[in-house]
Amino acid sequence: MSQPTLSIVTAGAGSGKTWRITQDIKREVLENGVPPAGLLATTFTRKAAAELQLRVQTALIAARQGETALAMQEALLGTVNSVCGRLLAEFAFEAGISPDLTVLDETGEAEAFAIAFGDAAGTAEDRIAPVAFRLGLAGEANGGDWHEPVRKIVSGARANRLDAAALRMSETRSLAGVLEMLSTPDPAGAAALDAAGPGHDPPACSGGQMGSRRREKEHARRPRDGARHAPAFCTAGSPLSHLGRLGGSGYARSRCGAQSGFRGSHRGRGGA
Amino acid sequence: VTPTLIVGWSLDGAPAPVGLPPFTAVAGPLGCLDQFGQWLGLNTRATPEASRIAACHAALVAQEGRFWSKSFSVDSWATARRVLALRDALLFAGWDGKADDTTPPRIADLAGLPALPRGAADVLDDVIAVLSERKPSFLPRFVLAEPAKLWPPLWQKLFVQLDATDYAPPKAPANGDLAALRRFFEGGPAATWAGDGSVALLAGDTACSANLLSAWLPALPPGEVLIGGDESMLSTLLRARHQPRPAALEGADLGAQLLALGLALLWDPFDAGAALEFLALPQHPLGGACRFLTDAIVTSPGYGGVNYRAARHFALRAKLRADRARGFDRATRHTAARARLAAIDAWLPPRRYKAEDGIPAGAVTTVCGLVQSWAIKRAIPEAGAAASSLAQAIIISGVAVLDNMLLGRMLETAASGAVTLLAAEAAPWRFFARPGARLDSTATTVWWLGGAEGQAASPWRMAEQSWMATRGLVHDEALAPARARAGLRRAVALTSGRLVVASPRGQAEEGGAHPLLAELQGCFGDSLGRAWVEADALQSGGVFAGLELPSRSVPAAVPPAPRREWLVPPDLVGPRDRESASGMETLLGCKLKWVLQYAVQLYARGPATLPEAKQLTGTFLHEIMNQVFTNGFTSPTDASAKAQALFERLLPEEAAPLLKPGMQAMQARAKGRIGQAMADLTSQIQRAGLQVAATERAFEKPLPGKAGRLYGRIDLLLHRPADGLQVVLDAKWSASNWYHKKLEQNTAVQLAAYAWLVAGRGESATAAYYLLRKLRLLAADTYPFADAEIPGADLAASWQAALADYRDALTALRNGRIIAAGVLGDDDEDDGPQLNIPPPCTFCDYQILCGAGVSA
Repeated sequence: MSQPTLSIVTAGAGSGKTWRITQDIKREVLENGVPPAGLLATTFTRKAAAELQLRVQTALIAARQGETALAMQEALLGTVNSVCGRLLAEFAFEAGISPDLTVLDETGEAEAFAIAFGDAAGTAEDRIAPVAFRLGLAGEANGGDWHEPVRKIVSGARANRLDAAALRMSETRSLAGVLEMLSTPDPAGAAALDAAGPGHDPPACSGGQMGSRRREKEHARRPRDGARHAPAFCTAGSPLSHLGRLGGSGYARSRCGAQSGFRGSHRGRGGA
Repeated sequence: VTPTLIVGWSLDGAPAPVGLPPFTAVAGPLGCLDQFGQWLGLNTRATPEASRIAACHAALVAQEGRFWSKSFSVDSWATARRVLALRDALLFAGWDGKADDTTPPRIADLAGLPALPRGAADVLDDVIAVLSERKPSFLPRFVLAEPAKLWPPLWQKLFVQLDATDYAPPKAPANGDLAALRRFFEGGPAATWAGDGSVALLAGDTACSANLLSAWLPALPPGEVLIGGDESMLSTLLRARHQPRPAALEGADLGAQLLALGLALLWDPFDAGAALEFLALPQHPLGGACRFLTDAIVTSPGYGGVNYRAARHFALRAKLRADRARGFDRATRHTAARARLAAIDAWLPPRRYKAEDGIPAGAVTTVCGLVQSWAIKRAIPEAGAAASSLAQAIIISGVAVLDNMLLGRMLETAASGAVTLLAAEAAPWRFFARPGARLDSTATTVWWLGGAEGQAASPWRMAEQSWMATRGLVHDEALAPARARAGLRRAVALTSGRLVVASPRGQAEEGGAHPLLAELQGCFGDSLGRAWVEADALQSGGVFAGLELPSRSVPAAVPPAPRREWLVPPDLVGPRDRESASGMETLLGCKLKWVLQYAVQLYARGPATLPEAKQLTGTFLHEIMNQVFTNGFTSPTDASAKAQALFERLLPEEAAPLLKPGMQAMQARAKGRIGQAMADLTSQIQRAGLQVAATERAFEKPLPGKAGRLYGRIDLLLHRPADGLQVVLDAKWSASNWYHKKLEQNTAVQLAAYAWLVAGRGESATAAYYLLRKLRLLAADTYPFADAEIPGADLAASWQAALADYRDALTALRNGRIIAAGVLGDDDEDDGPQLNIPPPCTFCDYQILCGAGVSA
């Protein structure tokens, strides 16, 4: 078998990428004798995959290679998901996994996550639930559930191949982003906080013991100048910066500043 | 005349061809082996698949360091199934089962397997061996639908012995585009699609395509051919459009369902949802006991609690009563009743097994035995097949304990023999699931392209394929495409007049492009683009493939308009002798709902379902609260501890769904909250100087003005000895502002009614809500709870207004005028109600009648 080569074809929609790939495959099969099982091509959508397969088969039939055309179903032509699924199934013994794999749908994935996360969630419930509520990550509307944001973080970490160490680093950077955002209260608010708090080092937030009503009042006095707010929980460029609500919505910002930022940062420093 | 047997790869179970010559029959591979069993006096029945996999499973356990070992440790049954399939495939490819120094490692591992129960390849090998020794003279002439070279080598060996010849399909001359396509198949030139109607292509979504075909098919003369993929929905789609179901509907039978649910009930925690499904099955082994157990599980989703025990008792009594009515003597009745209880405990066993421990094989085979006994008793022995197969597989595999995955996989195999649930219906056309099954010619072929018939990727590595080539072995993945193409071309070649191809978009995208489309495209090139007709464009009639689609205009139907006023004869509807507090609130909210619910007694009933997690939690915590108050406590801390202990103890009996994996957080949340709530509530009660007077007690009093009697069941009644004050507490799990609003707007009729019910002569009474989730008391006044008052709330005034409105509502009903409050109308009531109770349309089952919420 020859060494694999990688060609990247980039072009806009309708410019002929599928045609080009079809020609490449036709050439490999007809001129270079590559068996259908030795071909791999991926698309982003099922529709595009079906279209590619049809075009390749048609080209082969037009070239009077009808049986090869039918054997093209053996080639790995499909969406990234389907191709990877087939590879895993075909090489299950080599990978040491079950040879009978099932791709979970969204509901199945959520159920599997709930089961896998169940014990940890039950243990952490008392500690996390109040924080999550104040951060707007849970609430009565969700049945008090804070698991969805965790699922998104896990999903994001898996998609980006973050291991536990990388996830911890991301946490540290996110926390730094939060603290940076909270480090510029207006002078009046800062004075009040310093006076009321137990004396945390500035510029990180102090006032962990302050009553929530009082904090709300202090917050209300702060100028709502968007420019003074940092991008929110996730530092720009952080591996988790794309994770939905954690990514810096105005809602998250105001929540953080109003009530929970103090407690959240306080806990965060303690290594939550 | 020598009889002829046509053998075809796709002919097992296919409809018989029309116009075969005399003394000619058809058979697929399995049918052919069956025939040889009869001709040779040989047992040609393969061992059931579950038993073969079980034997392979037992063999793999003993072998370590093989290519399958890692996968076997992860999913042993699926691994055994795949290893067996690889071995069978090699045997069909012509392998003799032996290995030498040149054999690739994986195949050498397969050669190391011990002898396994016979599969189809082993049976075929036996037939060949017997035929080589004695070939009966009465064997028919063998004709092959597909050339011998397209069959696996083991079959080829048989066909050589039989001197089989190739089948010559009947000639079916064609013209125009269809003739061009057939010429292309035979090596002729590509063509331009002319559009003469002989090749028509239909595109569109599944529903539109099915609509069009179901309107178009009846216009065909009888006997034409319909081809639809195995997995296509065509059969169901046609049936849904009032056409005959051309193919049988297959699925798991009742015995398999009973087995699956019976096994689900062996796991701990108790699966209340599975129990409800189990109890809802028809022809049930527990007979009339099901309804009692169903009610108990819906009320208290769990096992062994008060309601469950009561249900067992009711079932026993009902059985005794039924048998007495049948005239059975006392001893027989009691024996039968004891047997019923034993059956309940056998199907819903008190002993269950945790996932981490697995289920002992004996417990599984006991359930298999129950299903088999049930099938025999009901005179449907075939319904015990899955159970029998599973029990056999467990014995053969020698597995002592089954984990969840292994049991699931074994069950999947044992229950995979789908049975015919509904037979195919007589139709004017013949239906072929696979094109290769078709052997005779017709004028028209309608071909519904489902997903492409999947060509499995070859499981053999390059080195293995090279080794196979040197040994003359041919794996089936190398033969299948040519075989499929031969079937596809023959189906087209047997069409003389019109080929109609429907390609529903969604299905093509799911399963990849169908090879017929590529063949058409290859023949007609870009001109084929003109051949496509959009099904959507013909929904209201037109001409398709040369035939007029029948259509007629139907005026648009107007759905009934929402109706506010419902009239009945005067004095038909009046007050109930005993009205409940909640019933009174319903009447004041919507008269129509009250009439339908209490006077007409019209209920919406579906299959029994478990309450949602929120509702389940609320009901459960309510029960815990009641028990803590009933049993007493020494301090708020003690009340909290007792509530949490009760939570742990009652959870499996009353709220087992919270024990399911994934529910740990909700469980922890509920447990924490009931502890906090009990500490908080008892503290507030103590501070107010109140004592518990009663829990879960019913009260009843005559309503003023001879309007019947009012009753209510009160959760918690408190009493203050110092001044005789009675306080009703109604605990709620909901965290919404609903109850706050009810008090604020003075529409808390039920609460006001409770306060009125408990008030004695000379003693004052009040009532309050307690929101368990929010740890908050909501009261109509500060007395006796400080800081709990909702401004504007006045229970006494609410009650007086409710009484006045109640009298007015009854008068309206007596006059025969029933108003659906949720439907807006002219405000024509001279004297509207004093209380502004919002219509109770949320979760109302009667909206379909009154039309509330239905947009015009």
